[in-house]
Amino acid sequence: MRFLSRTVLKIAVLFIVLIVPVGLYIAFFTLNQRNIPIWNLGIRNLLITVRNLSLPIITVSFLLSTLFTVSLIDKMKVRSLFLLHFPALIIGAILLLIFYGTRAKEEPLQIKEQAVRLGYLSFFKEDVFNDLGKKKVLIKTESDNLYTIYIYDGSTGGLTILSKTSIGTGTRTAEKGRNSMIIERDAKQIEFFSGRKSVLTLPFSDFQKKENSINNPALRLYVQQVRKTITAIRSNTTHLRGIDLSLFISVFFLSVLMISIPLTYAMNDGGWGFSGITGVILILFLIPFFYGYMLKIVQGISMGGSFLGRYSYLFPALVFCGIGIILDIFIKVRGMKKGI
Amino acid sequence: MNKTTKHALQFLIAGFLIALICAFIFFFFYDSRQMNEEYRQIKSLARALVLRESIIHTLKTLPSIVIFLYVLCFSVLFTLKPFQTDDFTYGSVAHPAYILLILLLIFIISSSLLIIPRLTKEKAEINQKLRVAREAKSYARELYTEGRYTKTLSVIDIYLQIDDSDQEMINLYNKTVKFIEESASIAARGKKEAPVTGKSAETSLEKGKRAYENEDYYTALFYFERALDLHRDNEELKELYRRTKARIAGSLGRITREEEQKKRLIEQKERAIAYLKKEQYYEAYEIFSSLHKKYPEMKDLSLYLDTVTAELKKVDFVAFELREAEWLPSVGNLVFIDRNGYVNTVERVVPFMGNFYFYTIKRSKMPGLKPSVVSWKYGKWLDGSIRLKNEEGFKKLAEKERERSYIVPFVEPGYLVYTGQRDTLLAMLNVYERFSLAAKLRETGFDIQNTGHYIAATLGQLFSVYVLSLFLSALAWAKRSIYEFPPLIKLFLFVLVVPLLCHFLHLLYVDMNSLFMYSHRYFARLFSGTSGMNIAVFIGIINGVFAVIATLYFLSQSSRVE
Repeated sequence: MRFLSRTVLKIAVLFIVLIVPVGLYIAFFTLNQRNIPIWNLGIRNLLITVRNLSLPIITVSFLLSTLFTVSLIDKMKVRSLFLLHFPALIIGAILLLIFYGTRAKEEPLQIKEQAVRLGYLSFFKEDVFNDLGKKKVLIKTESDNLYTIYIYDGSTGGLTILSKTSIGTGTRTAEKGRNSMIIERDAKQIEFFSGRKSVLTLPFSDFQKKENSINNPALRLYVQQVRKTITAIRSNTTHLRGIDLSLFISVFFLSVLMISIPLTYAMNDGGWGFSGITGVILILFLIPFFYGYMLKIVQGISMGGSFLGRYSYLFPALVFCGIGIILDIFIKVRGMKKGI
Repeated sequence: MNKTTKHALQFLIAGFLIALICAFIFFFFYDSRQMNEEYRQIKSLARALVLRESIIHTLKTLPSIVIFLYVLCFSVLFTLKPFQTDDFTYGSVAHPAYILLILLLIFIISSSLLIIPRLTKEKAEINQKLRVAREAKSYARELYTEGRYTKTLSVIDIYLQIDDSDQEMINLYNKTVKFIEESASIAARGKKEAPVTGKSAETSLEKGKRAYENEDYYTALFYFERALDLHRDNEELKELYRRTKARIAGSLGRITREEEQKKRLIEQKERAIAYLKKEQYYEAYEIFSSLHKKYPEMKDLSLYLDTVTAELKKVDFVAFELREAEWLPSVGNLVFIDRNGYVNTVERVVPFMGNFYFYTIKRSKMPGLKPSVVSWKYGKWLDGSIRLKNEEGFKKLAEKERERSYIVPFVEPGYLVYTGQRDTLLAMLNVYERFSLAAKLRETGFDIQNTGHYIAATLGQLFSVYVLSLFLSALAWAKRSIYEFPPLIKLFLFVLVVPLLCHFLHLLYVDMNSLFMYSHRYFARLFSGTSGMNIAVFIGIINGVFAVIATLYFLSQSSRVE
């Protein structure tokens, strides 16, 4: 009991420590993937994004805190590998309770999606040439709400000067005789008008930040695989709504825990803690690939899960839970042979 | 120094050198494979380029190498047999590791502020040479095929200045010379005398005498007039001058049929010489060039024109010079703001032998001034500004035309050519240039950080290595291996994963530092009453706190096994 409570406490503390950096990282990463410039976003927009992404942030922080705790745990104090699942399940249950508590009541707590607010300063720096591939844009403030915009097109060598330009967002349309720059959120682009004539369109993707921790090739490959796996998981369950969807996601996440906890435990070398940390990183990296390939095999089994009746959609998730149990038994048996 | 400390230092230094060499070898082969095939034609330059690129890459990965080295040492290496002694204490490995970390930080900072910019500049120079060589080679072949042998020679000359061992180009040169000799044009060129710029009276006198003996009286007259400027009392010179003038008077009669015309010619020439003496070269050029056009037989006029042209070329240029350089590799599409408030666009710039030639320039005035666009065909960097012109020869500008015809940029064209390559430019600027040029480059239109932001970002890089090395070392020591030698498979996975993890954590720390830099604006708003804190100080304090925590954590470890 003491071991359980101590492990739960460790996971909870690590969860609280990790949630801020993980939250920031996921928020910036997601915004960058959506081609929203992140270098001048503002705290308000950042908080909105973090709130909108609260579910994945909590999930990833929970997973990381659980795995790092297991990876650094003293093996001499672990009486049973099966028991090691319980601290994670307890924290998971508490988090689920909070989640349902804010959603499933008659008067739910309002956590609705809000879009980030984007102004021209989110995209451009003033008084310098903003480098956008072959195009360069210089914005100078002329008077209140009016700007002079220089657009240089390197492919033609032409310089377009839009003086007395107004800047607007969303639904505003170009007016005859007036220059304007419109940030079109839905079309994910910025359009410059000389009167009604469009002189330049810049997609948001031109502003994507490259060469930093949120955008490196290894991470892109990883996220691409995570996306593929999620798409594969959801491919047969797009009809799921409400409690069924929540159940499906919960069981799937449970299967991730059931597979990764024994693997992390196996990588946890009692005599060398850092090898456990190495193991966590490897496991986290490999799990989406493993799920992706295994799903193809599981989904290929015809009539799979028909015996589950209306819960047949849980079949792939339950298969993964089964793999986790087999791993538990295998490691337990192997550990007993080695006298651990 | 006890034995354990000595071993610790040996392990750290050897580990650092091995990691550095491994990284260098990896990048050397990687960069060799990445190199553009067209750049391989000059092997020595291609090798120099790859060498610099791989050194730059290695130096850029130094922070990750140092962090990894410390994790490796404290996790595995310091637990091996040489450290399993009775007198072992944590301090005996921690203290040398700490001192070495400070030395490595100095190396990292100096490489990032001085060595990498220097190497990047050298790399750019080699790249430019390779581009010129490649262009010269193909252009020389083209000219040779077209039968333009004189131009072919000058282009091959340029190529051979870069690579004098290329047998193909040497053969082409020899073949071209043979063709020119056969057509006897080289002989004609041989007769032409080089323009005289020497100011010594003796030289001019001797040259004048030689020309007089050769009955080349116009040339003799030119040299005697130049010599007389300096030695008015030389009797021999005076006599020779008188005789030459007498000789010319006869031939003048043949050239100028009317007395009036002859008088005007003499008057105009005297006026031009007076301008020349007063260093009013534009005025002198105008007269000499019109006289030379009218009387091409008078060689003294041609020599005077050469003298004036040589003087004018110091402050001006002729369009011909730019047309001759048009084939050279160029940088395209420049856009920048100058000191007079114009936005300038340049279609292409040719940087060559310290000169910068500009082609098709358009200038637009900034807001608040009368809007107008002025176009120019040519421009050349001369004495701190870009002289613009559309005409062929030299023309004195009226005072009101000067602003239009000169671009006075905030920075030299060596920096302007990096418009649109901000990251390349930033990599080239050393610490001194970053301090002295940041404001000017920003005024030019470059998206570049101010000095405070630059210091804050550099501090972030530096503290990233310090904090992560100490923190991860302490963590690694707390969870260190207790085996005599760690399990091989786990060691393999460790070596595979941890360098990447260290690199990623370093990037994360630097990005976190950027986030703190961004938060400075909120801090400044919050404490605006205290006149705001400099961003570098703000970042220094935040990183300092992290550094203190990491140092305390590192020093608080012990040799006790948990």
